[in-house]
Amino acid sequence: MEFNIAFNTIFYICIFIIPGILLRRFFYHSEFSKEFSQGNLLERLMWTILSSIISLFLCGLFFIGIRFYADLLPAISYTTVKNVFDLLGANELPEAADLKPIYTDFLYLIIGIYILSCLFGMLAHKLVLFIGTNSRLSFFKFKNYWYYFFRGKVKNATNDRKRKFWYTDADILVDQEGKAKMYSGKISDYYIEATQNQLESIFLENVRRYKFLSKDCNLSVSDLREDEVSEKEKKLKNPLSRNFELIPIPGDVFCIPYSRVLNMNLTYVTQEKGISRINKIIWGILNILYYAVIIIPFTFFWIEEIPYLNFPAPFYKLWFFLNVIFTSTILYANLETWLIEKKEVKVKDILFEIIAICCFVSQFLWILGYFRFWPVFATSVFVLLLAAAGLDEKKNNKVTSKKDKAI
Amino acid sequence: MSVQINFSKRNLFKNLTEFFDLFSENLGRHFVKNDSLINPEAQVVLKNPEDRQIIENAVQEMKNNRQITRKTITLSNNRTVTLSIE
Repeated sequence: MEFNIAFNTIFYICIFIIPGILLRRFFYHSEFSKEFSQGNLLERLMWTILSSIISLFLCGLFFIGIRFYADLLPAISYTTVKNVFDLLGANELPEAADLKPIYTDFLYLIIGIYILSCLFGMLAHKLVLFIGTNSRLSFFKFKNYWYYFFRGKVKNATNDRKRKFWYTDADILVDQEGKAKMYSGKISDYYIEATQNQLESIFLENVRRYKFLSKDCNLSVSDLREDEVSEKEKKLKNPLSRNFELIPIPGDVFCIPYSRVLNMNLTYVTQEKGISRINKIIWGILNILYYAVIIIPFTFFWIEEIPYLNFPAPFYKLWFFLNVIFTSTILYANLETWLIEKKEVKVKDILFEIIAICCFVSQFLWILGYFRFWPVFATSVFVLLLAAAGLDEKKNNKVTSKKDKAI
Repeated sequence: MSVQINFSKRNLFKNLTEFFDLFSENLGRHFVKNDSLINPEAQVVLKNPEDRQIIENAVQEMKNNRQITRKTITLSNNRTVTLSIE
């Protein structure tokens, strides 16, 4: 089979299809990933092209925004883009002499569009979750409605910002060969089928089986010993007692196929946050600062000359960006511990992190041209490894990992 | 301020792993949805069988008696947590 495809077609796919695919892929991620491939081919193609147009428009705004404080790379200009499009439209390759001065910048532009498409997709995902949860507008909701049901983001649940969702306790009535059995546990995971967003299976943790006791003790406990009978009678006579027992089921995860489920009752367990309004405001400002600190160095990749900073090569920009991310993330994590989790942050507990910050900050010495690369880099790595090996983890019981965080 | 210095391979891996966790969790959660079905804080508490029992009893009590809308419990580390159900 002969299959010819023009060079300009590949180029158009790279510009008008791939950004849309990336935007949609990151919009429909995690529990909504199956929605990415739902719908017929034409429908998906239309959505992809529309997403590409939106993505390119937003990328355009991003690059225009950069121009307010710095000059963009020379290739990122209307004239260059137009010339390249004209040549490719005629199904010709640009001359080597024309291409040489701009190809790296043009490559940056394409990579930038792809990265931004991914970021816009994730941002739109978060926005839809936020709006869909808070405004009750069904238009801003994903098709996978189980996401909302399993997290208490439904109409009946009180939308109290002072409470934090902990988990969902499910009582599930299951059909087992004609007999109904009820299980209780915490929902830990679930799967939906690919086309209709119907639930396939539910996974529970800490599962217990309901064992119902008959109200007539004589009937249900006739075969029991005397002491067992009296215990059951006590339970049944107590007005606060229940007519059931919960029998723990050993194991880590309990899977229930949805085809067997007759009914389920969900209880949302929440915890009071107890964060003061001032702390919330401070935390909001710090979040904005954190994003600004990350986004501004990110824009440096598309800037020709950065005011007050001189990077000899793109590699320096990358190191600058990574160092800013690492330093600000360490600060962000510790501020969160102090402000939100209200834990005391002692210097001795975060000594390793302080040393790490010093190591990352020292990298700016060679990035900005004050020292040579190797002495600074080698010293930093040595100090970091020495601190990691020397600081006793028992003494420095720090608050870094969420896994180790107690409430 | 007293800092215990004790050079060991265990410390090296432990500190570096925690450091990596710090980045993966704090940086990653800005990009990846972090509203898991069981809150990470709750997961830590529920790992302790004693605390899990306390929480489960409190939840069962609230489920059985809907007049109780919230319940304050004390965990094994002497921290108090106010739970409520919807």
